[in-house]
Amino acid sequence: MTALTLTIDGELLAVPPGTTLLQACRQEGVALPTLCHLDGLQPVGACRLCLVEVEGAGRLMAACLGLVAEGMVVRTDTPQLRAFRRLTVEMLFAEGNHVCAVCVANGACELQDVAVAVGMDHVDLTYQWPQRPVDASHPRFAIDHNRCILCTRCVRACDELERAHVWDVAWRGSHCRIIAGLDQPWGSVEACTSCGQCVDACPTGALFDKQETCGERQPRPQRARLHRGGLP
Amino acid sequence: MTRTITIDPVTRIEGHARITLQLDGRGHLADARFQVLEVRGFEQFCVGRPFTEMAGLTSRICGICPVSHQLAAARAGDKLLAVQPPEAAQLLRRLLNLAQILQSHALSFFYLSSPDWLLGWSSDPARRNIFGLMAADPELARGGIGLRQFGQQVIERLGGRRIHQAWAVPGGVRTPLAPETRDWILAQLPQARATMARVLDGYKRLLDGPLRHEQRSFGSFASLFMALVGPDGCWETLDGALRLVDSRAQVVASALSADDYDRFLGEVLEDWSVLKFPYYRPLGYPKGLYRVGPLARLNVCTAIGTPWADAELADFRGRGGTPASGGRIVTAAFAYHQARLVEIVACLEGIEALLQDPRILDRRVRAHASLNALEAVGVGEAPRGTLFHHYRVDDNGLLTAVNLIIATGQNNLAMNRTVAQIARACLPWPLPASAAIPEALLNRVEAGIRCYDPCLSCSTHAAGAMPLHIELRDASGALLCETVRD
Amino acid sequence: MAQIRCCTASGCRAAGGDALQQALQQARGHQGLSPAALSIKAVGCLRLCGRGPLVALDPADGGCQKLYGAVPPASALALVQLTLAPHAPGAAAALAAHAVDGDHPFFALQQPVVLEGLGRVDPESIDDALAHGAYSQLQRCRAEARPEQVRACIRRSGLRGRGGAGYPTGLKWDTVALQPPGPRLVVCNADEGDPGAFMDRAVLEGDPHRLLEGLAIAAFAVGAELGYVYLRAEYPLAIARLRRALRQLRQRGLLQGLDLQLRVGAGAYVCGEETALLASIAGGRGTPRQRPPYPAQQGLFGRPTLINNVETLAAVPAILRRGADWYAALGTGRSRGTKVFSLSGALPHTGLVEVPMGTSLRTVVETMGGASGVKAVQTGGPAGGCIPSALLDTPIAYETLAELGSMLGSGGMVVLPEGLPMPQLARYFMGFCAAESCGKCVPCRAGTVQLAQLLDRFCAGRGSAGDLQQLEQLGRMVQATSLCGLGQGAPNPVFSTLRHFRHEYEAACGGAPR
Repeated sequence: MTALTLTIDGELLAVPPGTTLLQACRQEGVALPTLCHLDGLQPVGACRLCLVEVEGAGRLMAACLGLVAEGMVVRTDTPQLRAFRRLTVEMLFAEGNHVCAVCVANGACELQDVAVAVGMDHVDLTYQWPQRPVDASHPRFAIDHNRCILCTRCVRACDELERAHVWDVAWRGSHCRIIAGLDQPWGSVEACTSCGQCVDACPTGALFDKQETCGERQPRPQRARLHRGGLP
Repeated sequence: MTRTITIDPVTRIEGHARITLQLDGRGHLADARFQVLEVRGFEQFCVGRPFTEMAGLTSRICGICPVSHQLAAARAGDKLLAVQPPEAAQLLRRLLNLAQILQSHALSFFYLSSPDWLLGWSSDPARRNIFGLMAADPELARGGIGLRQFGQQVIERLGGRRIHQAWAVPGGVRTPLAPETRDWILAQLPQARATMARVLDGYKRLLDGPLRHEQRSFGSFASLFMALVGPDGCWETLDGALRLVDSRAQVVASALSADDYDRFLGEVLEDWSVLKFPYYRPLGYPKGLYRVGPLARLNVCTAIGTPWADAELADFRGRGGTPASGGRIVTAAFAYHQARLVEIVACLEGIEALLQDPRILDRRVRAHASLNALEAVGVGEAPRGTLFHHYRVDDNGLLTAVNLIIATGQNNLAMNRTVAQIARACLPWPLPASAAIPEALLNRVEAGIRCYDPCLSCSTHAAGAMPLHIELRDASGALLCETVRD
Repeated sequence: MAQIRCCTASGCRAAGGDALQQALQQARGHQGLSPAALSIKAVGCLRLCGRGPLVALDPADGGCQKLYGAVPPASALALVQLTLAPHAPGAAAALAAHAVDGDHPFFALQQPVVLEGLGRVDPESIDDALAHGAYSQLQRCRAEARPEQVRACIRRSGLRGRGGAGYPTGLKWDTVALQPPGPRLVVCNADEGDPGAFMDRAVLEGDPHRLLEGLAIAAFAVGAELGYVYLRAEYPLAIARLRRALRQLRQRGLLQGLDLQLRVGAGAYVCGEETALLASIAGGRGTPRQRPPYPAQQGLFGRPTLINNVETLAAVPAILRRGADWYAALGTGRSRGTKVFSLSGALPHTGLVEVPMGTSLRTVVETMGGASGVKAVQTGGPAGGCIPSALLDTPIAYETLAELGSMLGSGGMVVLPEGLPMPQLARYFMGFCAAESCGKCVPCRAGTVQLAQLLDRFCAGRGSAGDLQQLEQLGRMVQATSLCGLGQGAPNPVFSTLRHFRHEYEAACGGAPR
C-alpha cells in the first residue's frame, strides 16, 4: 500500500492511507488535547479541542475526524488555536458544576488534565451554576450530571462496545443531558448490563463507581484494565 | 441612655463574629452577645449529594478541623452501610483524630491565644500574634510551630495531604499504614514530648503568677459538661458513649447514644445570630447550657489512661477544681487553655500506644457494602468538642437531610455567658457615656471568647489581620461612639 | 366560469379564512347557484399575507381578476354578487374597504416561477394540478431525456441552492450521480425554520405537486429510487397536504418505481442542517456531523444522497418547461433566476414576493413592501445579518449580501423600524441559537449562552469596553470552531450589527465595569 506524506508543524511524515490527522499527530508526538475522543470508539468531533489548521482548507478541521490527504500542511499550535482551545475549556468549566475538590475524579480527570495542558488557570466567562441532578439509582454506579461535559463517550461505549445503547442525549443546547433508557432512572433500565464500560469511558467524574469517594478514581488506563480483568 | 458596644470582628478566632455589649440607661451591662454572622449553608448544599461524598465534602468546610468532619462523616457512612470497619481501620481513624486534636490545640494555644498573656493584654494589637511571639520568645514559638507541624505531618502521611483529605471513608480508611510511616511517627515523638514538657513548665509558672486573676475570673460559672467517654469512663475521642456531668461532679446522664441525640439535645435559633444554640433538653432552654471541648472532656472523664497525661490531669484539677465538686470539676473557661495542653500530652501518649499495637499494620482497612440504612448519626470528639453528623438518605444513597451539630454551637450559650461575665469584671461600670474603652479591657472580652477556640465553620484564617470594630449605640440604634482597630 | 379563489394557507386560515370560505358557500346557496355556476376554489397563498383572509375573484365575463383582503364572513354575499356581476354597484361599494390594488408594485413587480401555481392550483386536488401542467416535465424527462441531459439543463440554468448556502444545484446533482454504482437517495429539506421565513411553507401548502415533481425529476436525474421529504412538525397543514399529494401520486401510478416518503421532524431547528436532517431521517438524534464526507458522497444510510430545499426543487419543473436559458436570463452575476422572499416586520405589505435576482433591496422593501423609515433589513435568519437603510440599493444576490456581512439565506426578510436597538436584535437571534443548539459541540452549546449573556448587558446599557472585546473574541471563536452552520453562523447577527451599528454598542457601555 502506498503511503501519504504530510507536514505537521513543519515536520514531514508518512502515514498509511486512512490515517486520521489525530493519529498522524500522535505518531509524530504532537500532543493534541482531546476530550470526546476515545480510541476504539467512533469519533464525533464534538469537543473541538483537536481542531487544527489545514493549509488551503477554508475551516479548521477536527483532527479526530479529518483524514490525511497527500501533501497536507497541518499546523496544530498556532496562537489562534491556543486561544480557541483555552476558551473551549473555559466554556466547559463555566457551563457545568466542576468542583474538583470533592469530585471522585480529582487527580484522574481528563478535563483537569486538558485544563492544565491548555493553560486554563482561571475562567473569564460567566459561571452558569446550573441545577443538575445526580442519578444514583443503579446499584453499582451513579451519574452526576453536574460533572458531565456531554462528550458522549459513555453513549458510544454502551452502543458500540456493549451493544446495549442504554445511554443517549436528550434536550437541546444548555439543557442537554445524558439519559438512560428513555429518560428513566438508570437503575430501572433493564437494557443495562452493568458492564461499567460507560464509567471507564467517562473523562470526568460524571460517571462513577458508588464505592469511589472524593479523588479516589484511578486514571483511565488503569481503570479500564481493572474492569477488563487485567488484560491490556 | 441605652448604649451598645460592639466588638466587630472578633479576632484570632476561626471565622467572622461580633461581640455586642448592650448597656442600659444607667451605663450598666444589660446583655452580652456573641453574634455569628456567617450563614452555614453547607447543610443545605449537601442535600442531593451521595453520602459517600460527605467525608470529602465536609472536610472542605474548614481548614482547621477537616479531620473531625471527615471522621464524623465516615462514621455516619459506616452506619448507612451497616458495617463495622476492620480493626486496623478503627485504630487508624483513632490515630488520625489524635493527630488532629494535637495540631488544632497547638494552633489555638500557641498561635491564637498565647500572644495575649505572653506579650501582654495591652500590647500593640498589630504585634499581638504569632509573629510578635516569634520575636519575643522564639523558642516557645518554634516549639509550638513544631508541635502543630508534627500533628499535620501525621495527618499528611496517613491521608496523603495535610488538609481537606478524604482518607477516612464509609467502611474504614482508604489505605493501610506502612511500617515506614509508623516508624517515622515514632521517631518524632521524643522531641514533641520534650517541647511539651517545657511548655507545661512555663505555662504553669504563668498560672501561678500573672494569669492567676484570669484563671479565676474568666467565664467561671456552673454548667453541664458533655463529652464521649470510654466504657470505663476514661477520656475518649471517637468511640464510646456520651456522658454529662454537672459542676458538682454529679453524672447527670451517661451511656447516651449519639443516635438518639435529639432526645436529649435541643437546638434553638435566635434571630440575632446564625449560630444555633443547642441545649440539654431535660433542663430546657437556656437552662440546659452545657459546655463541650477540652475542658468538658477533662471534667467528664474519670481518667485519661496514660501516665503523663493523668499526672497533668491531676495538676489541672488541683489548680482549678471547685470546692463544690470536691476539686473534681474545673468551671473557669480560662482553664480551656491548660486543658488543651493536657490533651496534647494525652494525644502524644495515645499516638505512641496505637503505633505500638501490631494490629494497626493490618492491610484490611475497608469494609465494602451497599446502602443498608437510610438514617445515621456519626459522632466524634473534635478538638473543640463533640461533633454530630446526622444524615438521612433516599433509597439511592442521596442525602435528603443533613444536620450538623458543631462544638462551637454547643458552647454558644456558654460563650455568651462568658462575655457577659468578663465584661462585668473588667470594664469600669457604670461606663462613662462617651469614654473610649481601653484596649486591654476590650481585648479581655475577646479573649473570653477565644478560650473556647470557636471555629465558625469557615476556613477564614484571621491571625490578627482583621480589623476590630467597636460601636457604642443608644437604644434607637444611633451610633454614639466608634473605635476601629486595624 | 365564474370563480372565487380563497387562500387556504396558514396565514389566511389564522385570519379567519375557513369561516369566510364557509360563508361564501352559504352565500352561493342563498343565491341559488350550483358549484358549477360559481366555483369556490381553495387555493394556496395569494401573497399579501398581512391582509388575510384573501380572496381573488375571477368574474364570469373573463374580466380582470379582483383581489380582496381582510374580508369578514359578513361580506361573503357581496363577494358572490360581485363575481357574478362585476359591475354590481352596491357590492363594489360594500367591498371597497377590502379591495386590494392588484396593480400595486407588490404584485406587479413579482416574477412567479416557483410560486407560479400558488393561488391558482387547488393544493388538495391532483387533477387540478395536472390540469395546470403538473408532472408534465417529469413525464417528458422520462420519455425523452437521459438523466445527464436533465442535469445539464439544471447546470446551465445557473440554479443555486435556495436553502441559503447557494451551492450550484447542477453540480450537486452531478456529484451524486457520478458516485460509484449503487443505490442513491434524494431528500427534500422542508425543515424551514428561520424566524421570519415562510416561503417553503407557502409552496408546501399551496402547490405540493410542484415540489413532488421537482423531487421526482431530481431522483430521475441522479438515479435514485428512494426519496424523502423531511418536513417540520410545526407545519401541520403542509404535512396534511403533502401526505394527501403523495397518496394521490401513488394512486395515479405517476411515481413509476420511485418511492417517495414523508418524514416529519420533531421540532428541532438544527435538523434543517443537512447532516442533522439525515441523522433524524435515519431515526437518530438530529445532530450534525463534520463534513467531509458530504452527503453527496456519503449521506442517508451511508449512501450518496442529494439534498435540496423546497424552493430549489420547486423551481425545477419551470426550468425544464421554459428552458435553462430562459431561467439563466433572469438574475445577475452568479445569481440567476428568481428568489422568493417572505417580507415581514415594520412595513405595510407583508407576505410573499418572488423577484428576479438582482432586484434591489430597496425595490423589494420600499417599492413593493411600501416600507418607510426603515432602519435596516434583516436577511438570512439567525445566521444572517442586517443591512442598513443606506445600503438598500444593493442588488439582491448571494455575493452582494455576503459582502455586506449578511447572507441571502433562505429568504426571510425582516424590516426593522427606526428606534429598534440593534443589540436587542442580536440578543434575540443569539437566544434563538442558544435554544436551538443541538448541544453536540462545546462552542455552540456553551458559547451561545455566554454570548447571549454578554448581549444582555448591552441591552440593559450595562456593557463595558471589556464586554465588547469579549463579545468579539468569543464570537470569532464560536464562528471558527463550531461544528455546523448553526454555531458557525450564530455570531453573524452580532458581527453584522457591530459592523453597521457599532455606536449603539459603544453607547451601551456607560454602565459600571462588571
